[in-house]
Amino acid sequence: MKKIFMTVALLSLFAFIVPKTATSDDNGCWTKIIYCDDGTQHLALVCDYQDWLTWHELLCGYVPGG
Amino acid sequence: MFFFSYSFSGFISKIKKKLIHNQNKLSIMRNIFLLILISFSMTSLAQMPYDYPLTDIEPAELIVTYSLKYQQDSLNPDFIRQSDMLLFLGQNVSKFLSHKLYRVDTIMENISSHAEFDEFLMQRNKPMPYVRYMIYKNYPKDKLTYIEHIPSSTFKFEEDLELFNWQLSGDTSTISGYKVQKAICDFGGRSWVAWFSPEIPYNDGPYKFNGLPGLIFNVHDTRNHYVFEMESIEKPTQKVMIDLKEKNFVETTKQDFFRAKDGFYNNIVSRGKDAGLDSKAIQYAVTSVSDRNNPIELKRK
Repeated sequence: MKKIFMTVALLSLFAFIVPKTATSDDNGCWTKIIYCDDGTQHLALVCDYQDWLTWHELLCGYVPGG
Repeated sequence: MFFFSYSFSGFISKIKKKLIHNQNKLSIMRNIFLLILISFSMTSLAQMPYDYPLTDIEPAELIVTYSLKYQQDSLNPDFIRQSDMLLFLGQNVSKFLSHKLYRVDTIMENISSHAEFDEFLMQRNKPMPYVRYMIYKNYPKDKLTYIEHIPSSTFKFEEDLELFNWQLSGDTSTISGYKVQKAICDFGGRSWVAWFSPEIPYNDGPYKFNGLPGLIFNVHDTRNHYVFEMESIEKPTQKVMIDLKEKNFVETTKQDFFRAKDGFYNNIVSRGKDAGLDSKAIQYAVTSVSDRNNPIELKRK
């Protein structure tokens, strides 16, 4: 019982230590936050930094000079 | 004797218990260590969304900066987008992409952890490229390679370099002190006017344009929906390589690429759901894609 408790406790601690952003799905994609300059935020699955760029454009709108 | 025997067996039993306890502790520690090791190795084996090997092709001899002004919505002439574009000219090969995409690519090459990647994502005023294609000319030889990412794959297709049926005009002018000559052609469902300079002996230009006896300085379609204007020509002061990020490309044809691109924008609700967007975000995306009706190539064959 003690053994199970200790394992669960340490696993939970480990889950908190490892940043949430470093969790990959089966395809190697990562849930990332899309930060818009107006302060709004969205979550999107990102498999490549260009996914993030595309979703940023579609969700945050056009910034001149892009 | 009985007391001695009792104390001795008690002592042995205590030692046994201690040993079992220690073994349990060791076993737990070993399991935790293994778990951490497995988790870390899985994390490090996963493809990072910023980390790709680079292939150096050749050094750039000149870097030409163009300003691209384009009308994304054919019904809204008041909304003009602007992007600075870079043409890296090597002895045999050239690479064309937006300045901001080049900056992002360079930043990504120097990122080595998720923490650094997240830090970049959180920055205000980070470079946000809206023109995200890359065009390599004469790579491979006599071919043009077009690369563009559509979530969540990077597509690559080749075309022949000889795409343009230029007609040279006798009109001449001067741009930034260079003598230039006019040429016209029809391409992608638009009529184009180009000004090139035989004084810069590279038969290259912005976007896919090439094949004139000198560098194309300016080129625009006759409705001025897409206007490329040369802003500067520089010799790199230090070695700048024309390189290629070796991603797991989806190698395709031009037709299939545009089928995939249209499919993404036409099915933005389901694609947004696939990417885990909430309903509010999907609504933003639907609004954003509604005014994309004026691509540079109207005809794609």
